[in-house]
Amino acid sequence: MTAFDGLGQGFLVAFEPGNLLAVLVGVVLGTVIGVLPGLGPTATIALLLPITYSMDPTASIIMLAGIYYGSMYGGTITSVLLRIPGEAASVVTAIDGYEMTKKGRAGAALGISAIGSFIGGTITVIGLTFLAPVAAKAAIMVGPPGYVALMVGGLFLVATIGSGSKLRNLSMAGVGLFLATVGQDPISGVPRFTFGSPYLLSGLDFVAIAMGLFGVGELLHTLERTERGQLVMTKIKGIWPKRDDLKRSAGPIARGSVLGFLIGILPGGGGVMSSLISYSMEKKISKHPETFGKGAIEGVAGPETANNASSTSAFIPLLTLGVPSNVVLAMLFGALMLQGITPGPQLITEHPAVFWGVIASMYVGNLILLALNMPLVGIFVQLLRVRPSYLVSIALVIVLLGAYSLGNNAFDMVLVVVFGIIGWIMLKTGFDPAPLVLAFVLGRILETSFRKTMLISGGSLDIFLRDPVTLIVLALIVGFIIFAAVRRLRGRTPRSLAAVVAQSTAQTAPSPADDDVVAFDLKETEHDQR
Amino acid sequence: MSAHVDEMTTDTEAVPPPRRTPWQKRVPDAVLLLLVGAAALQALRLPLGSPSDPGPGMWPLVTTVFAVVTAGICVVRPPEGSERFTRRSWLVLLAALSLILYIMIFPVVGLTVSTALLFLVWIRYFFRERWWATLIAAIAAPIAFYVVFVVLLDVPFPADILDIIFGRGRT
Repeated sequence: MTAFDGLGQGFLVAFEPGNLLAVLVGVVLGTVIGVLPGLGPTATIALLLPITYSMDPTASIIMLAGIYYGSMYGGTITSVLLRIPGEAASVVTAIDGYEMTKKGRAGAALGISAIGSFIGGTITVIGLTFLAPVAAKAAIMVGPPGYVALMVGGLFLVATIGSGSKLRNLSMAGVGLFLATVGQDPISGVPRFTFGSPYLLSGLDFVAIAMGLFGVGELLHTLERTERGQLVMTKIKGIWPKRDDLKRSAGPIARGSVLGFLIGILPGGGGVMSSLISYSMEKKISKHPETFGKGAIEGVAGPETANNASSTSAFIPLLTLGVPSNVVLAMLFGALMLQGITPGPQLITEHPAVFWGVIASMYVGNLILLALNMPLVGIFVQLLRVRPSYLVSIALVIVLLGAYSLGNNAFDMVLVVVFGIIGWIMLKTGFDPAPLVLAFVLGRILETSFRKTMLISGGSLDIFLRDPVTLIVLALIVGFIIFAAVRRLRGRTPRSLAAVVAQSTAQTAPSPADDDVVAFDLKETEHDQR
Repeated sequence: MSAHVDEMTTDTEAVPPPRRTPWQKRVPDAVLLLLVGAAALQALRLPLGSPSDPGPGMWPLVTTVFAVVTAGICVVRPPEGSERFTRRSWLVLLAALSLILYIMIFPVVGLTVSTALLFLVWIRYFFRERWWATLIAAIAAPIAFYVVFVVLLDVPFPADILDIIFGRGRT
């Protein structure tokens, strides 16, 4: 089957009424949670996992994918208007986007983001359409040792590229792998770490862990930091960019699309990383780098295009290799597993409706998002009137009721709250739950592949050195370590790019004393707008 | 997850680190080290098998030893990045307690009553909204949840007072 046949079949699936509804719900929800600070795509997908349980597999993945790339659009809105990134990938947009708002050009910033996101998203889906089947074909040749290397390498890169302490991230990944071993041993059937409890025999529930760490943990964190407060909003005018804006943005959008596509395929690449790299790249090649940080439209167009492109191409490793490249994709991986579908090279042949349906739905989803974010952006802006108190309470009850519905008993509710408290403590003490969840999701498959590899090789580790895939992954990791070491030796502070960007944002950010009251007045903006 | 403004500002206000690390900074990593250390000891009690045929204990041992090593380095050189505990942090403990109570009364009094009470506590006391705003939410939200989860999604929740109104009586 060629990519065209597959895509044709995919569109037939995507245009089924139930699936159209799923993509619409997904992208609207994605935009909404992108707008609402404090609730990102990971938490939202965690919240909705129990509901997808009863849905058709294709529809559920279409919806969850829509939430992910939809949130990339939505996150821009608060970055530009309030300098509060609705989700992490829009952090850099807050720099020049907010400066544009101060100059009364909020509309142009949002408009160019939507256009860039649409172009980046669509170009990447086209790339995905043609690359994914090829990649899936190649992936069939990957054997157990290759899989072990891919998963370990992926985990290593996600842990070390991500935010926070690399060592802590690595040890969280270790904990995640360990937690996945709780329950019956998949090969010998021996119960492990169950302490005689029948509840634990089937293993720790992925949904409970994800809902606890990301859902309840984040909500408790929001409660701690938010007192009563309300966001005051204004009307957005001039959403259609001017000819000059388009001319200046064409280059950044084109580069952002390619950059985002390439980075999204790499582990840890989707979203945040691509927008950071695009920003620094645009600043470097700009003839007027001094305008960056003072409302340069290039600093909005590039990163916004790149984060959308990368969030789409990040599906390639998931759909073809079965290796999620970041934590949001890990949630989708988990959602597929819940439906009894193991993502991997065989997905395209065994579940073509899921594979092509999801890809085709992305074309539709990006079109809907363009419509939502150009003429209808004003409606989403009104969402900022929702009080955090309502939002947190409602989300919390959804998590708890969802947990109950998992097994129709209160045990899962307790588990979710316990993991929620652990998640909050982790956030407070500087441990990122993302590597843990990513490792947990991969844990069982990784262990099985590892044991198979050892059986094949008769206990010798040489097998890893004879496998081409393993060698490539090893070379990547070694290269990465050398790169990091050289940078450190050359006296560059090992601080991440994110920290640098954060600092330049912070210089003009509202004082931290204002944090507990999330109230910003945009009256100033209103005056400035034409 | 989202990045927030206050996370960004911590960088600029960071004071130069003192030469000796205060012991409090080592606590989180030390706790983690104890936990994964205990897990590693538990893994040793399982049959390890041989390298050519790994038993059920081998992989847990590999992963926990890895965690022990990384956590151990963190105890010696604690990384930065923790948030300060404030007075509002105590609120989180109360909030967690309220969730436990919610789970305890949920099977007894049903979705509507327990959710209304949870909303009352959270919105009025934790978020300090006005009474009228609290009451509207505490009445409207449980009904909405009931309609979505019980009427539309047909989740078998414990008996509820709204069952009578919606004619969904169960034995």
